[in-house]
Amino acid sequence: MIRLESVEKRYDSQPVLRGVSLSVEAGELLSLVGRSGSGKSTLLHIMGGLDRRYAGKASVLGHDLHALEDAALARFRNREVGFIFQSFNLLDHLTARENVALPSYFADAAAADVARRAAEALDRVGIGDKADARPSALSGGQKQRVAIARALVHQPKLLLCDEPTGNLDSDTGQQIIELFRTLNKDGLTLVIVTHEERVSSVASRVLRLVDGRLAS
Amino acid sequence: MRSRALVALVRQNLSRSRRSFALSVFGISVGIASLAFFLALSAGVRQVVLGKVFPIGQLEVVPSRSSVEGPIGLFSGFSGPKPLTEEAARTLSSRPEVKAAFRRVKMAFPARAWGGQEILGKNFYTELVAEGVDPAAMADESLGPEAFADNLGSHNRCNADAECASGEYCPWDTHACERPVPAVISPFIVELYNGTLATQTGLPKIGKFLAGRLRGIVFNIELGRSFIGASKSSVEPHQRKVMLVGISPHAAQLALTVPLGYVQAWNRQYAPGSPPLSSLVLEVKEGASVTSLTAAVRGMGYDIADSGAERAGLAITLVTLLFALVSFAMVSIAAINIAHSFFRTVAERRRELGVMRSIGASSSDVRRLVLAEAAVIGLCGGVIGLVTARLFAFVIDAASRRWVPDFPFKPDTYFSFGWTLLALALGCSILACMLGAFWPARAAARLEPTEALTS
Ligand SMILES: Nc1ncnc2c1ncn2[C@@H]1O[C@H](COP(=O)(O)OP(=O)(O)OP(=O)(O)O)[C@@H](O)[C@H]1O
Ligand SMILES: [Mg+2]
Repeated sequence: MIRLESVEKRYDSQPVLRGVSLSVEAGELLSLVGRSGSGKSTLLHIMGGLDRRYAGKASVLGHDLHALEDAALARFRNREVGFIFQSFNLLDHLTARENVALPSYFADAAAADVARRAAEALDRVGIGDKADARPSALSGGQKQRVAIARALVHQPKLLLCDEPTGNLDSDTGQQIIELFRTLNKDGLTLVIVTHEERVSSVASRVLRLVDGRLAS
Repeated sequence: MRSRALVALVRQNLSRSRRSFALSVFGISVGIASLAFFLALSAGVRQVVLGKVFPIGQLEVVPSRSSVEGPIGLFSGFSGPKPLTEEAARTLSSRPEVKAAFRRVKMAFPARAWGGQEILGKNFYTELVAEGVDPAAMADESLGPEAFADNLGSHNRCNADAECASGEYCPWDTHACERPVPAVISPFIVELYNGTLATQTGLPKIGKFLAGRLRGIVFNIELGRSFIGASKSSVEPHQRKVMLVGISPHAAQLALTVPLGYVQAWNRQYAPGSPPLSSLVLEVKEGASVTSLTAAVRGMGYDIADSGAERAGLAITLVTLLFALVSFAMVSIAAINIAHSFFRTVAERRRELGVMRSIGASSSDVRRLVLAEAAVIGLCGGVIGLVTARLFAFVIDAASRRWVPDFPFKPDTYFSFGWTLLALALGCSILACMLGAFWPARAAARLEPTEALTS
């Protein structure tokens, strides 16, 4: 599902990733841990096709990410992976429903499909009743659910999460973790960057990043 | 990205930042309003000046003036300009560029006229300036009740009007029954009369109604006698009747126009030795070369009369150009302003653009989004600008009708808003905005998603 071979990344001659090789199989719930600044987000962005300026080989869901054109890479992000961020990254001027529908704007979907899919995704994360609320009227946990619904709207096979519980209190965080477990049981592959032991404890595998290298 | 989605996203973005949207729209609309206003004004004035004041598509051949001016003409003992002969007129008329040709001759001796009581309420008295024009020139005009033709009448011998057929009279010098001389005046004269004389003297204006009643009125002329000073003519003056048969743009601009043969005959009698023709009007075929025709005319030793149309057209073009330049400067400033505001917007929305990229927007989607926002601003600004220009034009026309005294050729409207003008202004507006947004859009599209997200 994910295959990285000696992936390297540097910012102005400052190495961040120094040859990361890993492979993730379908159905895994992988947890990626490491100190702040160790390159976890950088690695996740490479896997998700958000960053193409790396050396080495990254193959995700059968695509060599270096080989994809901008439009093809956009389609890959749109259909095949979902992204979850620590700070939710919802658009404040849109309602929950509109936020969830946003990925469909960049796909060739019919309007009726867009509305149906958005409603389904919101129901799936248990927040169908907040469809018309704007992010400012939602709690942190609710916001993260909207963000997860948005990531799931095109039913991707892979979900990449960057500290999804970092901005949530422990109870809410726990609920989100439960949601991830349910999604994983339904067949979704997840890579979760986290500081939290609780996340790691439900993971099928934990990888540690130390100074830009994987430590087993 | 489907255009539906694009529309939805643009609407969402613009309705969020209403204030900056309104400011951008205002900026561009001011420039477009001024552009449309001046272009419409110039088109309107051009229509009046070139359509009514100066007829277009025709050349007037006149005897060359330059041949008598200057020392060469004097030294060679040249006695005067080469007169326009019937033969030369025939040669020029048969040239391939010429659609139709009409001969003209000026009345070359003093005359006076009086009449008009029945229509104007009192008699007018005037010096008569008359010109003979080929009756063929009036062939397309609907004139009446008399035809515009030479030599009308039975010419039966008579001693009094009663001995002639109805509609005829008996001139006491020839003792041969004649019909009144048919005469036509130009719209220019009507305009001059309405714009100056009628306004100043309180005489009724000649509108459509009066113009109809003018037809058929008969007045008197006296050939060989003037109101100004004593008659210098050695020939005894004679009276004739003249009947106005219509108003035609083919008439001489500032003279009473009668059929050519009358004036030629009178000239032979009262001004022997005067040229048989004073000018030849050539109507040029559509698409034919005016240049080659002009060269042929010059080659035969004649000149083209300067109607002023060229100079007037040039003056209008220059003034239009000046105002258009000012308007373009305004539009450019608006475009720069839009560029500025879009650069700011793109910077403000950096993270948001990153989010869009992360959920599937390609860099061309982002570029299209920014450009589409600019196009909507351009469209709104263009429409508002055009409406503003139209309103301004409306107000000025209304004010002119109400407060500006009549002058010759005073138009109902000074403006002409054609479809091309509307399309041009709208296109200009949209283009200016999209040009302004081009660099910001490029910058937004070039942003790597990860950079935008971690900013
Ligand atoms: N745009 C950038 N320019 C320069 N250096 C950067 C840039 N982005 C990240 N870095 C550096 O790369 C390193 C790894 O960053 P990254 O965000 O991947 O760390 P992280 O493991 O996700 O940390 P955290 O747990 O705090 O989120 C850091 O030292 C950071 O300073
Ligand atoms: Mg990070």
